[in-house]
Amino acid sequence: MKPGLFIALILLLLPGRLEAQQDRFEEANQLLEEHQTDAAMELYRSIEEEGYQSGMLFYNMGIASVSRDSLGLAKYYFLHATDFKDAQEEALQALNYLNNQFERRSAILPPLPWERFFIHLGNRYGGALLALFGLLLLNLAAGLLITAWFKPEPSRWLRRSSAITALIAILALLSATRVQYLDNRYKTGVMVHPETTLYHEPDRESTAVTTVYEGYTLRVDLHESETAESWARVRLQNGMTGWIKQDLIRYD
Amino acid sequence: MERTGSLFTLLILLLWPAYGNAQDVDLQASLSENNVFVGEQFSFTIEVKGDRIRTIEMPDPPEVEGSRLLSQTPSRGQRISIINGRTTTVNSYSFRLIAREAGQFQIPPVSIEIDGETYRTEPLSIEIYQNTGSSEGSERRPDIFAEINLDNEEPMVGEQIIASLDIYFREGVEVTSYQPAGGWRTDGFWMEQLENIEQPSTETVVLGGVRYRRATLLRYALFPSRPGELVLSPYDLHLGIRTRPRRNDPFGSVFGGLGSNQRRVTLETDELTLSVRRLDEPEEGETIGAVGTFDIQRQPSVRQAYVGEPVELRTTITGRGNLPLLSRPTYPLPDSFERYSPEEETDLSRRGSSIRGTRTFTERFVPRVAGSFTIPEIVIPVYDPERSGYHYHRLPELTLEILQNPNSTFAEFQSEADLQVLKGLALWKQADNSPGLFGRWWLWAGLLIPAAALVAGWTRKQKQNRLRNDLQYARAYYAWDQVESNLIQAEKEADGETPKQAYHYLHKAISGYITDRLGLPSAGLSDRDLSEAVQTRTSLPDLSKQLERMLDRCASISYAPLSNRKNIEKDIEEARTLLQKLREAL
Repeated sequence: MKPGLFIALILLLLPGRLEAQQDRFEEANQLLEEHQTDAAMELYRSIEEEGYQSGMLFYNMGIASVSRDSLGLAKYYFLHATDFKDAQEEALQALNYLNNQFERRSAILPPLPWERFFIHLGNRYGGALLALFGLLLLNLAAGLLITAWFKPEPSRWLRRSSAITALIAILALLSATRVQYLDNRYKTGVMVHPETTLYHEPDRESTAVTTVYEGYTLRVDLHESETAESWARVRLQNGMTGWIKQDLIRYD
Repeated sequence: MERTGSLFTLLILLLWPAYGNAQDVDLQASLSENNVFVGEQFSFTIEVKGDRIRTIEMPDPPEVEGSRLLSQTPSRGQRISIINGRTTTVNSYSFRLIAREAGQFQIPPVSIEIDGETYRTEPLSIEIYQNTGSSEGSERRPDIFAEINLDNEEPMVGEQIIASLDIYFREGVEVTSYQPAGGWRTDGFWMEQLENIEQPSTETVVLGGVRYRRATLLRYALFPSRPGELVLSPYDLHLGIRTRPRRNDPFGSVFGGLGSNQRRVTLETDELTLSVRRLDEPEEGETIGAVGTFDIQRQPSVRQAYVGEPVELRTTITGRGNLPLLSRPTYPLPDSFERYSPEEETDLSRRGSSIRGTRTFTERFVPRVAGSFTIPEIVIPVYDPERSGYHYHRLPELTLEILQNPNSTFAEFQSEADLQVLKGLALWKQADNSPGLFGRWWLWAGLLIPAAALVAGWTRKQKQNRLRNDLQYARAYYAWDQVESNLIQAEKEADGETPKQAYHYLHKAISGYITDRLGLPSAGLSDRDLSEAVQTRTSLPDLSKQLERMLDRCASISYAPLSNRKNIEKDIEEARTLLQKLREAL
């Protein structure tokens, strides 16, 4: 098939598929307004399972969860909605409201400065964009250096520019790697069960670290979690770490 | 009239201090000993202190029961001190008396006329003991010992008791220094050392018919923290003492050296057991374990605040008692107030005979919802040991007005009803199932392209440098280019008017290539030298022979008849083949 024909076909089919998601989304919204929360949630979930995402979808799923008194799950959806511009402001307000509804709240230990830096970079630019930026600079640095080699007159300016560009490129690539590593390894999760115990080891017989309540935000270590089936290695916002049953928390 | 009035007022103001100071008289009476034996002498001294005293009449002799005045006329003395330009005179009148009867007696006030006014001293008391000559019949005490004296041995929980560390020493013993020997275990008590004693003073006491000097060295405020039997461990104390021989000790001077004997001793007090009583339950309020005399205030930092603004609620407890043992009063705050860690601050004064100061508890919270909120009235009971009962401090109800911040970036949700379903066209996005960063082709391409370019550039640069600096390498490198050039030239000559000239270029191409490739001199070598060099280098005898033949032909063609064009072209082609072989071999 010729590429032009393929693109034309995609352009013709895509609006139809998107329209189908939008129709179901509006249908679910209608159900939610009519307090048919379960039916609405089912429709929302079907859209999500097909791989379609939007801030409005997650925000409304959060509202449906609030109606079903699943505040932990609602917090998860509202947190997810903050990643999308179309419902970011509403999701932040809802989170603010929701956090006040939890009877127990965890103390918050601020992340270390460099950790905050990489989290900010990841949220603002993402690992891919940082890597692309780094690669462009790296190529530019290589070009400048090669030009300096073959220039009849030695050029210190070109060499310096090349070195500085290369340094920035390496920093950008290292940052991209770190951001990607953090993104791959850690996920933000929310405790959706009313109460459970955080254990020192992935074993109910091991030492209890603390009690985790619904709505606590967790940082799930995917890499560590792979070592124990049905357990997740998590870090609470107060800095405590331990193991928790996977089915009691929700994360991406 | 006005001027006269002002002058009069000024005169009054100028004279008033002088007049006032004339009345500034300090009168004190004292005894040299409060405890004496029958037959011992003691002094009764009256001191008149003032800075503008003009006349003092002789005081009347005191009438003391159980004692006899040795002389009706007192011995007089006068001290003058000037401090900050102010002169103070102290006149003293001392009467000598002798104790005659055992018992407790009162010395009545003595009148004295100063500058025409009559002043009276305070009454004093004296105890006179019958001198038994020894302490027989009673427990014999050492010459020096230490005791912990408590002002209350049955305190309530949290009630302050004063523990005084007293030392007792007999005549002839002087204490030169003291130092507590390590910690004093007071389990079950909160303890603070009082700072009131800077220079310990001594007084006379009679114990078991023996006179001792007593000095209070240290004082501690103790607060029992639990009821029941509590034990105060012995207190160890290092003392530096100097002993003088007693008047009735004939060996004192022998063993005591030349009149005195300085040494260091360690004293230990007895262990003490206290019975601590439990506090009665208060009739109302929330107890914070307060025992003493306190004033309690509760004040918010603001009465009106915006949603999200931090508010402080400060409880200040000021007064005398067990301040550091107080627990934080807890208040029922509205649910919409987000609480933060409270703070505590204690400011204590240890001077005087009690612990006093201020303890502040600060509650911090952030209101999250607008509205009018009430922190209810609370009653805090404080046990007052002096009244043996509770004093109930009533902290009035507080009302806080929490307003919506008009400058807030977005409105706060107040209730679940504010969570409205978002409708309209959503911005749909496919879930990101793309490979991670390291699975993207452009990442590796972006890394490999500059790496390859750098390697190629570097190699090229190195070759350029060598061609520029290494002549032999440059000749070898450009040798084939020269061959091509000469062969083209030979072909041109073959088509030209002087075809024999083509052989010159063929010879030049072959010999030039060999010398350039083998790094031989470009001139001065015979054809045989060239073929031998090729033979040595390649070990190919056929190639060497072919080369020799071709070089011979090129050299001898000048003398041969003119060959036709085909033969020349054939020779050129043969030379080209030979050069190709040489190129492969060299």
